[in-house]
Amino acid sequence: MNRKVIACLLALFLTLSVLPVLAEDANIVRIGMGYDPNTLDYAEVNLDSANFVIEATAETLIRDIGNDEYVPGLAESWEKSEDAKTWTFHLREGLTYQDGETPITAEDFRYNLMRTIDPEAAHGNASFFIAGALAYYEGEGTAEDVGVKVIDDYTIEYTFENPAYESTFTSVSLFGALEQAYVEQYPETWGASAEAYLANGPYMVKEWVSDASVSLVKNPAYYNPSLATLDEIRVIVGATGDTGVDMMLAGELDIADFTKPQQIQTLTDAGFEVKFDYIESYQGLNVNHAGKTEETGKFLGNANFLTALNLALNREAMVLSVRQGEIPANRLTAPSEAAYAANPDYEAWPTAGDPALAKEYLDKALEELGVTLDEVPTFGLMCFEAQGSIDTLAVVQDMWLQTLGIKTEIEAVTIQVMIGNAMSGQYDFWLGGNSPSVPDACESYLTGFTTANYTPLRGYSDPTFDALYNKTVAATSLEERYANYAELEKYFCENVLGIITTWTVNYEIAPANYGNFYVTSGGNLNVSSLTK
Amino acid sequence: MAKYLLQKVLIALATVFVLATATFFMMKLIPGDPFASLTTKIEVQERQREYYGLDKPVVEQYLTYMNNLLHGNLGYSLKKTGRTVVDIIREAFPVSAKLGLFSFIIAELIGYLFGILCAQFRGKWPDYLLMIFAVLGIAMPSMVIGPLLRWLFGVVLRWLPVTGWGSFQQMLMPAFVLGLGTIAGNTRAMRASMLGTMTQDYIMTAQAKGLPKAKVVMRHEFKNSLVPLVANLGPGIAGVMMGSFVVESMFLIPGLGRYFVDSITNLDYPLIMGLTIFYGTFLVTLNLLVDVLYGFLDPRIREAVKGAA
Amino acid sequence: MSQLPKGTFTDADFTKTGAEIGLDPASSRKKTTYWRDVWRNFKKNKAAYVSLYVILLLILLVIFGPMMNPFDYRTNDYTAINNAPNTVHWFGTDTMGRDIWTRVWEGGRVSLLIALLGTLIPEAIGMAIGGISGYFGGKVDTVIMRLIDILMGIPSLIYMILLMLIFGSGNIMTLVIAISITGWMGSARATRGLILQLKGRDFVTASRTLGGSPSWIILRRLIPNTLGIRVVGITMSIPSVIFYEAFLSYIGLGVTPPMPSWGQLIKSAGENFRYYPYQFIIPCAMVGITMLCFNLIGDGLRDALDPRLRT
Repeated sequence: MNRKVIACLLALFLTLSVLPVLAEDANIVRIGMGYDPNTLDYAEVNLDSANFVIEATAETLIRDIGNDEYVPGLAESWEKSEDAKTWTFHLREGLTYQDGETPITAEDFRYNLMRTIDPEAAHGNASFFIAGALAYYEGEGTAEDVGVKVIDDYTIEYTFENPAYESTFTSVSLFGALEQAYVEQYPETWGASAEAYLANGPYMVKEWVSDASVSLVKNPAYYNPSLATLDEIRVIVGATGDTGVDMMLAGELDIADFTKPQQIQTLTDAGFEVKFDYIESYQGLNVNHAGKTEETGKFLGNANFLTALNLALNREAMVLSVRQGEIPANRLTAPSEAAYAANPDYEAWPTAGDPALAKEYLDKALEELGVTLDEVPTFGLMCFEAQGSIDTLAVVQDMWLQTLGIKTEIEAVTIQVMIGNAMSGQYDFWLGGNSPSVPDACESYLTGFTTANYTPLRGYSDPTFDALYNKTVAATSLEERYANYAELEKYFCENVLGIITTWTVNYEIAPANYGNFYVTSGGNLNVSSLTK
Repeated sequence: MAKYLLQKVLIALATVFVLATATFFMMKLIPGDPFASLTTKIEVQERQREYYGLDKPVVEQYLTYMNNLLHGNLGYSLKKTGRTVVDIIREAFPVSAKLGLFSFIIAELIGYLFGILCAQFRGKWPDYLLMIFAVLGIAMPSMVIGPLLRWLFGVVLRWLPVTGWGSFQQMLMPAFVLGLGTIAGNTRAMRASMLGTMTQDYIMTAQAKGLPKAKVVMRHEFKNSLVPLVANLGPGIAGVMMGSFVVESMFLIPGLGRYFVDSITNLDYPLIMGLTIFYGTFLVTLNLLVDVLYGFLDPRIREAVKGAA
Repeated sequence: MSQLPKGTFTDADFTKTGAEIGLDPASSRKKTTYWRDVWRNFKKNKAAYVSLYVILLLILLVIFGPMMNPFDYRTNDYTAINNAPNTVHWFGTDTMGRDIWTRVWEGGRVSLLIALLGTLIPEAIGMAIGGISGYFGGKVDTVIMRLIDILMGIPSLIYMILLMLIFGSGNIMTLVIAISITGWMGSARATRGLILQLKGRDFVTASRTLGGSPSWIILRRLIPNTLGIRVVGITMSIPSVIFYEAFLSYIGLGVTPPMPSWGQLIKSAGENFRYYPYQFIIPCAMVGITMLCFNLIGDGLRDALDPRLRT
């Protein structure tokens, strides 16, 4: 009897598993991503894969076509005030969402913005560039005071706290369009499935199998069909690293990005090409200037001590060993950021380090603090549990010990614990990365060092820095901003507010005959106009 | 018998209750905060905690949770915004279960077969050969054997798809990698158990009666050797059906395995609770079935159970 | 009654006594204890006997190996990154130029310690509890088995990760405690199953009839008889504990780096094993050898311990 049951089960499996024969369609592109998008709710998206899908399916007022170029998107034209704080957009008329019926009007932009910063909903992407937004969020102002105004069906006006730039308007969570009536049909589940999502880009989501794949097809209602060159884009979740290499070699994947030189070598040997590379993040040690304890804080608040540690790092050796394929950093601003081009020659420290100078700075610091080397406490080096991070810290630990005799202890923890510890200042040094931002780091990374935004995360407060920062963000033109930013960057590097070690590079790899895809200034891959 | 079963079911329910309670409080003891984020504004994080009720006292949160649980509401995932815990399990479990069951059945059968062969050829070359295989099966971690197989059969030979889910071919490699440990474990356990059984009086009696060798082996030795192995069947099946973190991420299978690790490291509280309760309930049910099967296989235990109940 | 003809029996038809062939009569009558008996039987199994010496050799290397060359386990050397095994670095170097010979033996200390403690502690707990549960049956059994049901209902992986996160990771003792708390139930259940099987056997009934106390029967009659099968379980859990450690390293809850363990060495080399296979094969081989030897020793012990197979 047992045998029969087993035979039946086997037969069942065999019948259930009829091979789905893939139609060899030349116009499908399969692209590998690390994670499931999780959500496509504009107010919540935060993963690369989600940004990729959004990039292809949802358009904002201005289109970012890479290389810091911006062209009209849903807005046909716009004008800005003298101080660049008030922007007025004129929408294209007669646009609809992907259903081909629902019209896109100025009200949809206002609704999307107000929804993202709705204090009741507590959305993850709430941010407060717009005038009056923070006050509204904290219950001190009203919705009417938020700087967004619908002039008529096709005109909308935004007012900002600080001057804005074209790049500001590529954020879909603040400047995308959402149809209120449609969103409200899915009170809790908006953006969590292909059905509960209605957008307006060149492509639309056809199917989304959670944690497996997302299929995008042409949006027939899009105003410029020539921007969608592919019949289908299929995002395959988890197809990265060695898995991605094997899939590409076996013909199961077309495009993916890689970081390891050996993987890239294997693929280029097999006839694939590196289409472009882009700097994905700057890696380094965040410093808690107040210290995890009072004792370590005494040292971490000393600029000479930090300079010694910074100079003791041989970044070239790091790239040779544990950070293969990355670029050793010699300053804060990454070569891919717009602010770099404005000031390309700055070099804040030698990439190979300077052990002799490091020791001089250490002696100076110890003298200032009135202690001997034996009295220097053991510092904590915190990181995420990934092997690459642990190895990196092992290298840092060894360099500081060998060059300066400074002792450290590595703490590898899970992601939420790490972030929790970081936010509450429960660390001395913490290995982490930051994405390059547009137009420069003032929009993200550097905000945390200002006294106005003081948190235990940085434990840093310095009027000189505040003045330089405020001067930078108040600039009314990009030229002025970059000039001010150069001063700010110099101050950051000379006082070692953070120890930047490397810039990580992603290499986008595809078959040789593929072309015409790019990374936006915001760091999202765009394949909508891909040709092959 | 009905009374005995009812008692077992009540105990099973109690188990799930204790499990849910223990997990809830242990989970809250983990340092960290699910909404701690470096990109989200501090004000927003506070608001999120409030929205999900995480600012309330733990006991109050617990009572709310248990109340929702009684109404069959496992809540929404904190990380997969807009998706309910039930949805996530409903989508991912059938995948893991299908792969796991397929792998388990094959692995059990092969393991028993190898074990029987080892015992019958004790000390001869088939025994050594299969034991070396069994040792390798345990020594080679799936994170190593998986990529090797994938590269060999998928890239070099192109016999099987490298990754994915849906076809029978796509199931073969992950099922093998998943079942390798079970095969190895069962080979060893069956060999040991069978060697013990082979010297029993009733086997000698059976042999003396002149029963054919195959009949003695299958009818008497095999059935009796199974008894100690059945004890671990429940957790074995449950474990393998819940998916594997390593195998699923290696072959891109949209199963449940990854959530067990991810939900905890992400502190996705509702998902941790949902998965633990689901796993626990499943396991308790299986153990119940195994208990019944256990009694069925060994008459002496059947009597003891009857006596106890 | 007729006389047998002379020569019907020769000397060969008789077994000579010890004294006749020149043996000391005392030796043939020497009483062998249970464990001496086991050892005598164990030695007959050549594979097991050799394995025991291999394990001893491994233990010696784990203790003295790191002292055999000038390198230490944590100092990086960027001029010698990813060197294949050579005369200076006998096992080669890793991505940071650290000597793998030294790291393998340093890691062995950690792994073997965790493996031994993480196997024996839960096994002992499980045997005691399973023995009591199986022998007494009834209410005691019900309570214990329900407790085990409850604890086994908590998926051990989740449970272990939770415990590690609560206790704080990075420490050998935390690992052993977490493994012990989550690992004893399987052994208890299996021991109980075996004891239920044995309980009905004649020799137990006989002991009970002869007035043996429960603890005596459990310890001297039942446990030794379950050891045979449990030894297989024990030898099999040593490698699985090593890999538990590896898995916990995999998700960042292993021992604190730069301190290595075999699991961690395999894990970190596994990411590059296509490019630097030696970094991966060496620790894997160590684990494989350790496991094979424990298995063979286990088999030998099983045969030696099993009263039914005793010669």
